Amino acid sequence: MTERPRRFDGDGTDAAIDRAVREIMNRDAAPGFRRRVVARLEREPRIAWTWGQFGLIATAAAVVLLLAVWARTPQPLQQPVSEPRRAELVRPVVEPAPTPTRPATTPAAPSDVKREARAVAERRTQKPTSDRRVTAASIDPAEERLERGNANPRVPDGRVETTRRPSGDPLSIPPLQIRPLETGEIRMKSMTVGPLVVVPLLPPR
Amino acid sequence: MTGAEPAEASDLDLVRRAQAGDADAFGELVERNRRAVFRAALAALGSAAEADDVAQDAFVMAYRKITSFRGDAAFRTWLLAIAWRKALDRRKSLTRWLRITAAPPDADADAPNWIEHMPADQRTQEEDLAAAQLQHKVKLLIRTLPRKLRDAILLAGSGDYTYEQISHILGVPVGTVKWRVSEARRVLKQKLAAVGHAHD
Repeated sequence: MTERPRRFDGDGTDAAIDRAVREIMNRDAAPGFRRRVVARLEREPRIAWTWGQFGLIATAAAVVLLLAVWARTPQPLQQPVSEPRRAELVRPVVEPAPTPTRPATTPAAPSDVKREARAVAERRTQKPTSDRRVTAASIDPAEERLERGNANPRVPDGRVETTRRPSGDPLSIPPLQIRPLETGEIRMKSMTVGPLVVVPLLPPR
Repeated sequence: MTGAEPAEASDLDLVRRAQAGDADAFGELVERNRRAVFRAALAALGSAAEADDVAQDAFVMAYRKITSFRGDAAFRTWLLAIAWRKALDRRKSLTRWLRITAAPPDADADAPNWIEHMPADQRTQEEDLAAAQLQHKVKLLIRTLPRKLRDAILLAGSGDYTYEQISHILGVPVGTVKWRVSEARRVLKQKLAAVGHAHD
């Protein structure tokens, strides 16, 4: 297995290729190569220690950074508590009231539901904007400002929000319970819609 | 026996001494393998200055890892593999590679010297000039070869390595090395024919 590559002599192209390759490769390292290598080897321990220090410092910095990020991560909201409540309140709306006598394909029912939905939407639009503002402001941005130490955060229109204490617990935000009240109204309306379902409206069509 | 010259220590003896902390023994290994390591780096990089730098890096790395050398392969083979990896790392640096390729080829600067040092035989001046021109073109064309083919033909043509060593350096079977050398020659001949040099 000590076979060496074949060499061509003469004037042919193969010989020209061989000569060209030998000429390209016929070089040597600059004088003093051994001395330069030994000099680098003498410097080597210091370089290794420097790299070791660098690695140690980098690792420590990474650990500190991770701890800082972990400490700044906000705690998760109490979703497990609020979700069941919402589902509980929404369920009656999704599932219509038990009306065994009413046919499933009643044409009046969808229009009634649409009408009710429109009415709810109108009521929502007629609500004072200040209520919505307070609700929105008390959920997130104001809470953030309180956490940053601003005891009297400003709401978007420039006024100072003074209704919340700086030490309030962000996990027990009461405004989140406003929505269930609205859906409750819808449920009551749907109960009153029941009697309005009159099948005889079909014959005219 | 007392007046006999001490036998030259083998590479393996020097390695054992270097592993034990003998810096002079490692210096001797540097001296013995300097040219082979340098030329392997030169084949990969095409620049003598870069090759010198990479060869130094390779020896420093070898010294750092010499305790892990178990003697499964020859020390030179092990060392050449380190040098080749270092050279490839250097070649991967795009800026360096662009600088090397953008620089005027050394062949251009060397061509007049080569003509002056041609052996004075019975050939006419016209023949000498034609041969010099052909060789110059071959050197330029070698630089245009695909890297795998160029590496193989440069290592094989240097005369410093066996096929087995080239196989170990490139990390491919001996048969692949031979094929690449042959393919490099074929491509070069094809290119030479395209520019009007079709002797064979």
